[in-house]
Amino acid sequence: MIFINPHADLTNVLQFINDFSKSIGIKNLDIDARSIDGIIKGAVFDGDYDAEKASPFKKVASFVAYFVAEKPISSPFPFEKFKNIKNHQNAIIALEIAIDSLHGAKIHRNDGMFILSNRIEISEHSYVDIIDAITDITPQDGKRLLAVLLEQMCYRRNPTCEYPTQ
Amino acid sequence: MARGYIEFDNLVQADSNVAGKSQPVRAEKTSGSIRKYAQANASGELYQPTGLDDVMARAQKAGKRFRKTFSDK
Repeated sequence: MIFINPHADLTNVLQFINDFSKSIGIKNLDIDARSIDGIIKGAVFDGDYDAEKASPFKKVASFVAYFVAEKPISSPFPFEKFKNIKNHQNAIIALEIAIDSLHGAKIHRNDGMFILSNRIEISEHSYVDIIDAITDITPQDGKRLLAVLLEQMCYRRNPTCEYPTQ
Repeated sequence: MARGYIEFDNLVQADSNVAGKSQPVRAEKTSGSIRKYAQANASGELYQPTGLDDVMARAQKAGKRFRKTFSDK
């Protein structure tokens, strides 16, 4: 969905947010659409990760970090509607985009190409904890750990894609 | 030739310069071939949708999953 080209990335992200929010019953989501463009460019050209060599996990972790730090969505998700989850709409949207972007992602390695064909699945309990944990990350702090977390969650559902352990 | 726009019917652009005024969110449609970032296919690539309809369908499925997980608890 992202890291394709500037225009496709922007329209894909806006389309995803538009339809995800609609699907969960949020109407007229207030969003700073202009800042989405900056978030994407920040993630794509994040010098910390040398994006040309970055794995899909690092790429998408970078996107989440910029998105969560920039907070482009100002409409809160109604707490009474989604019980048990704190009101972190930006972290929720960023995580959903990350999970979707990794579903069908490809990993190129020396020993071949691997497709993450199974989507990440998270229990309600873990989802709440992850949202709480990523709410405060920034491009400068936390994205490496998030990349490893996403990588491990993908490998749990796609064990053949993991590097050999022995 | 006039270019078309994609309208995002559930998004509202908050305009901080004009109190109480919000604007619809839209983006220009592109034409011609798509040039990818050099890094798009490097050590790995994120899922690349076939078009906005594909993004829409996946977003709706994600929303359905989210709703199932968190509603009616």
